[in-house]
Amino acid sequence: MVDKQSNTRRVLLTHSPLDVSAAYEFLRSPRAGAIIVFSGTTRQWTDDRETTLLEYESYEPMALKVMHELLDTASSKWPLIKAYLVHRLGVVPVSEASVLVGVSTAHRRDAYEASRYLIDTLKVQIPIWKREHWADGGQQWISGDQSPEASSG
Amino acid sequence: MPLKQFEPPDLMAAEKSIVVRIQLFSVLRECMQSRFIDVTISGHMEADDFIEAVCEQHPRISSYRSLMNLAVNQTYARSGDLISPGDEVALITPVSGG
Repeated sequence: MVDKQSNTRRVLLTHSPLDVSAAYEFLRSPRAGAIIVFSGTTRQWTDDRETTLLEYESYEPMALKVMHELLDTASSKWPLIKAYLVHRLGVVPVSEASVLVGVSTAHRRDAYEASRYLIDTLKVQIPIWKREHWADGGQQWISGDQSPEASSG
Repeated sequence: MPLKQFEPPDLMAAEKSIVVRIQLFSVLRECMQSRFIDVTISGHMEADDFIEAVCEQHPRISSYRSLMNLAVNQTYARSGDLISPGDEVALITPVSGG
């Protein structure tokens, strides 16, 4: 069970560039047989439209609370050894990471399933929004495809 | 002829009305050009009615109504959940992090 202590769980919002190797180092453990670090990065081209940068805004205290809740849920579904959930805010230039999601587990299947769950759920539930800036000068706040769900109970 | 019961004006109601400050983000913040808007309600109110009140008191934001969800005390609210004086309230449009 990954608890709220910082030696097994890292949850953070930051305006600084994200460090994949720091995430990997945090997740290392003698008990782990698998470590996955997913990074979501700013893509330059969406079809024929060029993105120059993304800009992220957050309802920070709630985002951190829901990030912890996500890890609580993931910990109840999969035997996580450590977990890492960090999102960058402000400007994220092309090819840089906006989010790192990482887990370490004894076996790879749990690591794949848990990390997939975490990034998919983060994109629906965490109160963070992105604004796209395009090469043609346009910009727009992006609205997600579905509304966040109120948790049961 | 039955006497109509006399109903005094509800002076207390006006005193019970409270102002709730609502946090805004992304498109809603830009629409209102402010990180906050205030809404006046009387006593407790269900989340759906609260959003209705927001749109009535701030018509400019009402075009986003179908996208609005409420977070109350940093938890997503269901339609029947109550908003009470002192709650921390935010309007949440579908998120797009990641």
